[in-house]
Amino acid sequence: MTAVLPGPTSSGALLYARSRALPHALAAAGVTAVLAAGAARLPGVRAEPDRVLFVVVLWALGAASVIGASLHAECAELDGTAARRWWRWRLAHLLGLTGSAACAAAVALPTPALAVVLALACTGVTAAAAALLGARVCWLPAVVVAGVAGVASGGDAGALRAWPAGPGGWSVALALFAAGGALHVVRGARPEGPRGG
Amino acid sequence: MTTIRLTGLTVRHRKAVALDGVDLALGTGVHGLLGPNGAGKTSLIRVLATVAEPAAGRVEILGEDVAGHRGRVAVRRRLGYLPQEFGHYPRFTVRDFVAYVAWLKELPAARTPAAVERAVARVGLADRIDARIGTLSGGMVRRVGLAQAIVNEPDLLLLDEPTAGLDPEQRVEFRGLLRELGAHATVIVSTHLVEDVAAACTEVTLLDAGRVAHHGTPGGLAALGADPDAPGENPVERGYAAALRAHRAAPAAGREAVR
Repeated sequence: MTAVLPGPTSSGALLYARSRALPHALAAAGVTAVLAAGAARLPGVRAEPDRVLFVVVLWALGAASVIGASLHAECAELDGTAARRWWRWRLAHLLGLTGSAACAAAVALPTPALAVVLALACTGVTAAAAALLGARVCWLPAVVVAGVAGVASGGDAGALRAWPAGPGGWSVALALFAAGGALHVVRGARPEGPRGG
Repeated sequence: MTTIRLTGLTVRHRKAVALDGVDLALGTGVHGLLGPNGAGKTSLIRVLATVAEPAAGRVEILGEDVAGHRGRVAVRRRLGYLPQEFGHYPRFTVRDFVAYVAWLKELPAARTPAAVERAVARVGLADRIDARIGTLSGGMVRRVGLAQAIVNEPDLLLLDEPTAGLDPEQRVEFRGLLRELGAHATVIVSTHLVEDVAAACTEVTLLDAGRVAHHGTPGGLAALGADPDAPGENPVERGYAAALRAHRAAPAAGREAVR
């Protein structure tokens, strides 16, 4: 048995964060917010509420996708043998990233209430999709729902812009986030591969 | 002492039956799990690793019934598991990855650095402990997998195709490690390589179509292949083939008797 050079061993929390690429996810969420803030302030966009709305929707989908991608576990099979209680880590993970994205939006985007409501709703749908379909494709349902909603609105974006101020706007978004988040916290992302489906 | 007791274990994947009412009791030592593809070896390993749930039957590991949450968690702390594909984190160093699994097993933080270094040294990767896993060869990655499986000094070690990707010299060293681990723990090795079983195992279980086709010692399996004209390169291979033939030829009632 060869002697091992002693070295620093990272803490469990740090290893968990690195295993889920959380530093990358935080950076990506920040870059997404900066890009969206820049786009919303372009001369051809800021005077057009519909274009601002389009930018905010794209940002919310992007942020939710970044969060959803971070739910993927490369070692799902080994994670499944953990004695540790996963639900606490999944909850902290989801709340931490969603909170960070929401704060960035509130600071950077011109319609913070709408941005936060959309981010909560999209992240809820994405978290549920991660639990049911797997983290690699979890961005898809939110994108499809947004696309269908856009087509169904027939170009009238007024209702969506008024969503946060309307009755039940925040309630619906919070309910989606709570339901999707709870599903993920309890079940975790669906394992992928031959045994996971 | 019996560390694993399976009673009527049935596992289904959708409509297919992977394990069909298996009864088995295993104790300390190295147990080889042999069988053709689709025999149920990986399904059995995954149930013992507590990552798959049986459709029916009772699974008792280290004195705990794993159907309950408390029992499952207690077993997981004392369990080591090397899946066929463990899906490492390429940016992790060997030290990071083994420490991550130690954290999963709730090994006390104060004991983790020494446990990680010991596990890595035991698989012969001491000089690569701070190398990124993504830079290692396939055989080395497999040894990292073994290191993570033994970091908590498990009482039950489950290894699914552990020698895949190892060169002959590494396999010889690995068998030595198996014998060392099997002196104090229950080690279950699922493999297609009967020479690994002959060289390192104290008992062998042969599965076929989700049932136990043979259970005994490697010597007993080799004795079934005493006929040198039968197909196979060595007595254990011939015994493997003979046991499978006998199991498949036996009527259902006879199979029950074998179980």
